[in-house]
Amino acid sequence: MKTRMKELRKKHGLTQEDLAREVGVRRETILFLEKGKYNPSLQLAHDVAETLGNSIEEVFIFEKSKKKGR
Amino acid sequence: MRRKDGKTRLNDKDKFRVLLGLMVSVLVVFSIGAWSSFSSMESIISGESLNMIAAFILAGAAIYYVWDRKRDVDAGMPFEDEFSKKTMYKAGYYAYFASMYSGLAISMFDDSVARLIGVPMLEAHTAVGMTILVSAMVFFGVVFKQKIKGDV
Repeated sequence: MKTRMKELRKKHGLTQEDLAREVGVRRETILFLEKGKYNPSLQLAHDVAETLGNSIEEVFIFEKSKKKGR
Repeated sequence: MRRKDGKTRLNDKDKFRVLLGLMVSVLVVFSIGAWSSFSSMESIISGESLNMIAAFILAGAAIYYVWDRKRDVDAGMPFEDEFSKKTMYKAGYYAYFASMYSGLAISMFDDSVARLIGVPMLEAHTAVGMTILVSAMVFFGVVFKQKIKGDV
């Protein structure tokens, strides 16, 4: 999953550590979210988006599901 | 729990975990030190040394793990979050299967292969220790793999 987290975080002048502190997670979680190497829970996605002042869809770019029937 | 200066503080449950992790690691390192001081060269050179080396590495991994978490807390971040919990669950899952299959493999080796090829059978405490160490190495292997590559 791709994200615009890094771009939006820098726009707000936040470091990864600052964002982690605001959201209430560890820095490595923010690192892996930005790299698209971790899919957050809905709650975490909401908290990140809310902290960055954007909607979930603006922060996280969802790809079309590859599962059959979708 | 966040203090007025914005930094978080370990709650009692996390303090217990940190303390327990450190105590176990120190105990393991102390045991290895005592063993190597009092053991003969023969037993050090034998297979027992592999167990001890693995235990030493695991103690180091545990200390690093606890230190890493404490550093995050001191920087104002939580002791654990959903990513770290998921990592623990995944590591525990694989470690469980590793302990099961390594225990089985070691007992089969002792029962069948050791006699066939004429090597001495493993002592019970060595076999148990090896099973535990395999499980612990798989556990920390998964934890560190997640730390490097994320949850993919």
